[in-house]
Amino acid sequence: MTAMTPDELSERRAKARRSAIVLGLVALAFFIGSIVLKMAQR
Amino acid sequence: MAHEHTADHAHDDHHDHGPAHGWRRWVYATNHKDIGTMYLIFACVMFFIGGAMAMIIRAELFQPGLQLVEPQFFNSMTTMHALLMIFGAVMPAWTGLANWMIPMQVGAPDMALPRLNNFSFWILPFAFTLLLGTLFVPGGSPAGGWTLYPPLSLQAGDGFPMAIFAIHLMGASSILGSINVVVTIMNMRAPGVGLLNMPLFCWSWLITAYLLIATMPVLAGAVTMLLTDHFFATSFFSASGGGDPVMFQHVFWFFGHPEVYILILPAFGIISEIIPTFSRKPLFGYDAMVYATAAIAFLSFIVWAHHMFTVGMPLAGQLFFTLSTMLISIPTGVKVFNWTATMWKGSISFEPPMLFALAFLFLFTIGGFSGLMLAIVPADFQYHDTYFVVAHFHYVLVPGAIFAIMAGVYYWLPKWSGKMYSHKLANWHFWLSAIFVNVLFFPQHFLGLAGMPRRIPDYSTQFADWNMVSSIGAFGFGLSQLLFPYIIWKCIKAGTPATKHVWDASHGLEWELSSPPPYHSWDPPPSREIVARGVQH
Repeated sequence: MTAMTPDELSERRAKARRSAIVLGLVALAFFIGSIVLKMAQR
Repeated sequence: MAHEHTADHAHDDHHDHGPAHGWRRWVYATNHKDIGTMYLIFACVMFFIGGAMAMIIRAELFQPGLQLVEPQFFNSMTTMHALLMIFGAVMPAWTGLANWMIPMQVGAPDMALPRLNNFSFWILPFAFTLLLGTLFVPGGSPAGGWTLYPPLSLQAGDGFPMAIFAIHLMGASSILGSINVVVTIMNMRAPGVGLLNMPLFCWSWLITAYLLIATMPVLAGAVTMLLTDHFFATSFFSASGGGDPVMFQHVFWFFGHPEVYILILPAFGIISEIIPTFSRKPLFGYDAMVYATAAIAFLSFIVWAHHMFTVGMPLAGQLFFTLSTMLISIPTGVKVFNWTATMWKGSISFEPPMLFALAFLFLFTIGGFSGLMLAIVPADFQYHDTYFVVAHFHYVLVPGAIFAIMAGVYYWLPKWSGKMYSHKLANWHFWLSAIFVNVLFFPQHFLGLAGMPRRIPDYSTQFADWNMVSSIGAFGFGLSQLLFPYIIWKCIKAGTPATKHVWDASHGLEWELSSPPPYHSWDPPPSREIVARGVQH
């Protein structure tokens, strides 16, 4: 008896990929934000 | 149990084969255990290179006067030792343990993004080749401390851009690894494994991963601005062009303080796994442990300027950062008391993982207390930049983070390898480490209180005795660590076979797999019965 089918697993992986892209963009925003804020300080 | 996980079924991934042979297995690795193993080996190599640098530092400080190395090289050693130990040893060791354990603990076949996982690891050897390469270029490696404060860091030689690029690569590796951890825990948990019944190691790593995603880009931003100040005539931090060098310290420590918790939160997770197993009792206050970890992570973002009290700041700022720093002791205290309550009236046994966990509990708490002392502004004015600070953060990081990594390896090694290591040798490793780590670092409190500054190759004669004691402790500690890889090697070569559960009270999904686990951990996923047995409560 298994609780998760291979199709479900693929679906979860696809969702993980989408979440990873969002998290990557968040990281990029922090990188750019740190420089922009420093520039705004001057 | 292995037969439950080798059932043949075909689907779109290639899960029906074993590992590739030769170098391809490692270079093209997408299996979480292979990548975890590579991370752990990498961390071990860096630990010994960084450790060798520590031996150079302590050999030079064995007695007053300049003995062995030039002051510039000495400062390179302190800087490189820190960068290697933080980014090369402790962080990759945590990522290695995360890779090995998280899929097994949440009932997933692998990490959610295996190719990204491969990329995250293989960035590291290039990053550290670059960083270590700075030792061989004109001007030598960075010598202004791992904090890279300008204007000193801007005066470095050809190694400067190499070190900056190496930090960028390490940061990219950490961010990608963290993204993988987050999406694995959020998306790949087997049905029945809920957020509030998964192992605390997963929880602590989930929170650590969010910290990494939020702070590593800030470090990347800070060092990028250093780079443009150095090569492109910008003046972000150059006072002569209207920039503000103190602002670098603010940006750096906005990364740097959460980084401290990035190094220690996974340790809290491991200790929360080990103490219940060897106390033969469930963890006391699971929910409180989760909320305490989250509270520590939140607070870590609002305490950064306690590293900068001596720079000068308004009284309101001093008060805010003192009080916010002291607040951290509340959730940390919750953890320490919960671990103690877990042991209360437990049937405790003292196998090597438990010994390291207990040492962690005592010695990390000492590091925490000296941290509280440093949070008090007038006291910090006395302690700042002295060996007291060195003693404080080494108590947190060596018998704290490093002991927890060793506890984790001794806890899970029989699961990984299917073999049991020599308890006798591991006990020797523990007792030598626990004794020498105190001989090494405790006298540094006295040196700091007496006024000995950090990051200097020479010192006044009144500091001679405790420096000699500290150096003897360092040599003893360094030598005793050679036992660690030997014990692991001997275990893999000639250990006695380990059972599925390994420890008589081990509890969790990883212990429902065979020892060693199958190449693809939970493929097919665990049944609801197995999940019900393996989850926390």
